Amino acid sequence: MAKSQTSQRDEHHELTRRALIKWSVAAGAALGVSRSKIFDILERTAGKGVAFAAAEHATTRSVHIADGNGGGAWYQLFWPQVDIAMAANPQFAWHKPGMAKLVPGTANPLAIGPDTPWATLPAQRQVTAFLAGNNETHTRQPQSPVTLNGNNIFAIATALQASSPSVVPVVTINDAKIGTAPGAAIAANVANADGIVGLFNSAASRAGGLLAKTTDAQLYRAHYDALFQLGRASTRSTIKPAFVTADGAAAFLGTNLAAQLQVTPDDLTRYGVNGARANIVQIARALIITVKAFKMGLTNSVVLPAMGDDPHGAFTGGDVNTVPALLKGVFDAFMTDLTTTVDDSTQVALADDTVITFTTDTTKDPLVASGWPDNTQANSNVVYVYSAGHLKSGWFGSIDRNGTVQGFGADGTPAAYNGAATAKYATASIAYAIAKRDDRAISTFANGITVGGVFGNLKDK
Amino acid sequence: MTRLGYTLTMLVGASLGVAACSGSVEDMGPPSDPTTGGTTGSAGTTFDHDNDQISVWDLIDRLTKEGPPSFTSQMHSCSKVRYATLGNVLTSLGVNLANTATPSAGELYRDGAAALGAPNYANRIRENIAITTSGASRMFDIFAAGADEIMNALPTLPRCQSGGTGPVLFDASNLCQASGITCLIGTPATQGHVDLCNLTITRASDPTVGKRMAVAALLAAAYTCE
Repeated sequence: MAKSQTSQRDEHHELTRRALIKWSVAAGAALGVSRSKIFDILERTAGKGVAFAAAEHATTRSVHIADGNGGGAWYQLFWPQVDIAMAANPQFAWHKPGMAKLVPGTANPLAIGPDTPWATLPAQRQVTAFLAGNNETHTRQPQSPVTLNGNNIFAIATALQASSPSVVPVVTINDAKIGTAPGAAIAANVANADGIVGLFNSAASRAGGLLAKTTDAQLYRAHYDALFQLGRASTRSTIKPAFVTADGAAAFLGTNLAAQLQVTPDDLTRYGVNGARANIVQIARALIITVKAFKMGLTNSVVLPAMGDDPHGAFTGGDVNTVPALLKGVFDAFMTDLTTTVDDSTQVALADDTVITFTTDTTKDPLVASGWPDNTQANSNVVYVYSAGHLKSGWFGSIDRNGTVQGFGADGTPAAYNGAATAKYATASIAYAIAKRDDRAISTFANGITVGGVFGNLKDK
Repeated sequence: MTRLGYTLTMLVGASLGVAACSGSVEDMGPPSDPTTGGTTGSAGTTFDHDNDQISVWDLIDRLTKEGPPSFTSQMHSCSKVRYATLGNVLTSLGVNLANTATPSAGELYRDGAAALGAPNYANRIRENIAITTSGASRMFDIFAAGADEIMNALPTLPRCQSGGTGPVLFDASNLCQASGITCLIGTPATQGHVDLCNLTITRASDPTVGKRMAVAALLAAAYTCE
């Protein structure tokens, strides 16, 4: 059967739906035409599907570092309590006394040190830290820092992200769990980071599958194209956009994505984890694969356990001199990848469209380095969020050098510390960031908590 | 004229106005002809525009028969098969949706609700209407995984019985049968269907794979659009 003009042109110039979107958006930018106008044009000429794909996602993707068993204490060495770090007291659990500095321009005070990841990001993109939740020494799945009105923020994230189609909505690694929330997706659990790759291989393309052989995969696609053309409505112009998508799917079916997703030696070198301890390597592998999966729109959310190593002896044993720097290398490389990688469908840099959270069961005592005990002032906990600029940067709540704990209220101003209440504000803020500053979108879960203008930046007009 | 047209018109007018308001005609020097071929490209460096011209009379004829695009887009658009509908189709073809084997069509269907764009009523999200790469590839994967089940069940499917006799997809010589294809895709099979089916079998890495692939491709093509 003779191929259509479109099919022949596709072969010569690899015209794809994504190429059309890229060209249209770029041309529109050059002509000063708004993105919304571009979508109108795409919808009228190429159909709703193309326009939909070209429009940015209503929600961000998310990566949740769901630490437990004391492992989240390491993050206190990235973003310490401001007054404790600035006190430069070697007795305190801050491993770089005298080297802390305030980040200028943040909405709230934020101190960083030599081992802080993302230190060169603009002030608006710096981390938001909430003194929130309760100390839950020890558990692998702390609940207080991730609970919003009875629902788990990881599950809430998947519910918010449901409008962004993906092959697998959320992936959990090892014993990480997303909990429950109305409308939440079902997590695909894998044993380790490399198990993510297996999720995105179609059954047909796997070893022993129908299209395991490249020649069969190519034959399938070609004959699918031909069979589709036999349909009586196949020549209608209104069918063409859907056919382009389906044709891509037919090619995807026979594509083994392992090569595109798997971690390479170069990746590990960039993340600086060659020879590093196993838990750090696993974090790096998970983040490397996550970037690749986000780029291809294969998933919206990844939840991974992290250190989980209860580092009581980190100060006395000297690990504080090596581990934070290694982790900084991993997270810096991750941010570099997010910044330099664009989403295939929206052409937006992943760093602009990804929220990263850090939660743990205990941050350990920030005032005692020796033995780094598990207890915390006012039984407090901490949640860190990279919000891609959707939240106000810096600390909400604090612990000063005297051990005085300051919480915050629903209006963001200082208040007596309340673990449950602050956790609600923190998790509502995470939801707000994922929903890209849409208070209404999160209202079902936030149940009256206002984030915009308080913890989060308001929508740009 | 649309706002975009006004914008472009103003841009062009402004650029012409700049030249007009300069107050003097600059001596641009003798014209220089570009070198031969210096401004032309090749197939690999230029965008191949769609130069398929349609005759005005053919267009009028088409519009008369089909109606305007605002009408045909509703009549002949290509929305995806609903999740529940896909389940009904698979069941009617003999696929066991409760199959727990990995991988099986039933398992891929049950686990693929999100990828297939099923509705999420708890979160007030409707079913996806448009075809997506993830949804279509999952559906095609289901058909591929269920090909054996379907081939085995076809002769006894209630929907295809005629006088107590069911159709067959392939005869003893591995040749495709129109009656079987008709049962499979739900519309009368054409000679083109039969020919492509046979080609799939002969061109595949082996006849068994070819038959499964033919079933999968036929179903994929038939159910791409609802």
